[in-house]
Amino acid sequence: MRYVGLRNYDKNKLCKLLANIKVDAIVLGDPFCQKRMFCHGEYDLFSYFEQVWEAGKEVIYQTPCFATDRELEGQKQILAYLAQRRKTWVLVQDIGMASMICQYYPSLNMCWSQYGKTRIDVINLKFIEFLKKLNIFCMEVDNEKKIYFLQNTGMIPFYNYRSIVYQSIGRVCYSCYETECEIYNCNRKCLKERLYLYDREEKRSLSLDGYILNERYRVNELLENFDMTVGIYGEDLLITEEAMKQWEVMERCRKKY
Amino acid sequence: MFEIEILAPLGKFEDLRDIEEAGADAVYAGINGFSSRPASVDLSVEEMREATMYMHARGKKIYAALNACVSNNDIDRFVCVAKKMDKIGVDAVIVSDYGVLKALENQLMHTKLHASTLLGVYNSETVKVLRDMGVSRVVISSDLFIEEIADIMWNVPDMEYEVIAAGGICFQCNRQCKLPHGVWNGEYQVKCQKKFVLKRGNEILGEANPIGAPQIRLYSALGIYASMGIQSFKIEGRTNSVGVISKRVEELCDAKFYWNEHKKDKQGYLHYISRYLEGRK
Repeated sequence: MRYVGLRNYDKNKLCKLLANIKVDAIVLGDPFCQKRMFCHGEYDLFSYFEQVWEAGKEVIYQTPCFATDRELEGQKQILAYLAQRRKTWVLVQDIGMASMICQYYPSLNMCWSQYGKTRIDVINLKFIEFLKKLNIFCMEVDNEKKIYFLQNTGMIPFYNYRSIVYQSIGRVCYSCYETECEIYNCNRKCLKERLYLYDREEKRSLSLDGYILNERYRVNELLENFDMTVGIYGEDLLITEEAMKQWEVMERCRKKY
Repeated sequence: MFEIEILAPLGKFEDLRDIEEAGADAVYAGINGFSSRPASVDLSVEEMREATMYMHARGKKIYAALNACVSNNDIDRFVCVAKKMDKIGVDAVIVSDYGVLKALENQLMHTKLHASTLLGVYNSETVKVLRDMGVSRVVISSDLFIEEIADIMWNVPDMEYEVIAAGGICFQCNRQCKLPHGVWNGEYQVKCQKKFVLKRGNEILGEANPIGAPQIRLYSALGIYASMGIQSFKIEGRTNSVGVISKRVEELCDAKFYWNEHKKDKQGYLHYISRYLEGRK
């Protein structure tokens, strides 16, 4: 399976992705702020789910990173909706969220995602055992070593070919905090205004990207001998198209092997 | 009504007496090799044994911070150290790895398990998972708002809760913040507390708000948290000098004394989250 997760979507971007036969699944849902990912916030989410399914592709729903009790309540509706469909994936980054899905929505396939992975940065066998008990059998990884490790433990690696890197993640939106703007009235400031924190001494800038500080994308190694689930997170469609070309190279290599 | 606990850090064995005399009800210390702080502020097993005897002789408690992430190769050694802590009578081990918690299931006779703030507890479902793994106390994530803490405590009342009451905590996500924080070129630097300017393109908009929150000092609001049911108030900073730690202990002890004098006014303390609690009824 090849999946794509864009930083933000609109109808045009989604249509382009849906028309692309190389994409098998699409990541929908922002781990921090739906207003950043979709023009109309979470109102767009359900209609985008439907469009993806109608195009014969799979949905990978990304659950929130800071899953407070109130957030969990709100997620139940979305998860119940997804659970009615077959073959829907959920990226989880919180143990409580995983436990809730395991109990109430067992039909959903869970993958331990990038933000969860960085929260618990050393993966040991006992942790894998713990994840399996919570019905999590997949994990996003971004290096070859971890792929081998996961395969040996019976877990399915979701290899991030193009992954997100950052300086920090905040509980409050950096853009709103710095501009002293109320979150409900932000008008997608983080996308419209490119703001930076500038360090005069070191002459270095950090971009304010919503809840992420200095969001960047890293292209990881091309692992041509692996036949597995490969994911790509991108800033816009151009990057995605560039990655598609890489995938073609990967496919050619795979055939060669 | 439970007694609230002032929990102080112990970075050096020699500081134990001063910290205890300042009024700490319990101390926590890292153990060589398995704590998330530099080795210079960790205790050896032998020092931990002596510290345990000292604290227990005064009716106080001691916890071992075994809060590093543990690789596969070190799990057995980790379990061995935790068992040693159990044998010498340490009251609890503070753990920050689910794999380690799994490895410690049914391994300890007397020592309790505390879930570190590094585990990122944001909801009651996570607390339930931890409770089922044998954890007796959860250190609440330091970036939760008061009503979110109340949510967790309301949903899982059969758990002890601890908050960070003094020291360097912030709203960056634990373990996901890669801003330099520590000793660089011989100088202790906290990048998030540096002064930045805010820029839009090349235009300077002015001084930026500091991205790292100021040091938390919860003593003035201790009564509100105690009324909610928070049992332990932790002081962060094992690397701090004994003078700084003792001062923070004394401040919290004053707040605890005031709370003990006025705890009949619990509803008054809860005034600030009462609308939320009303809604819950």
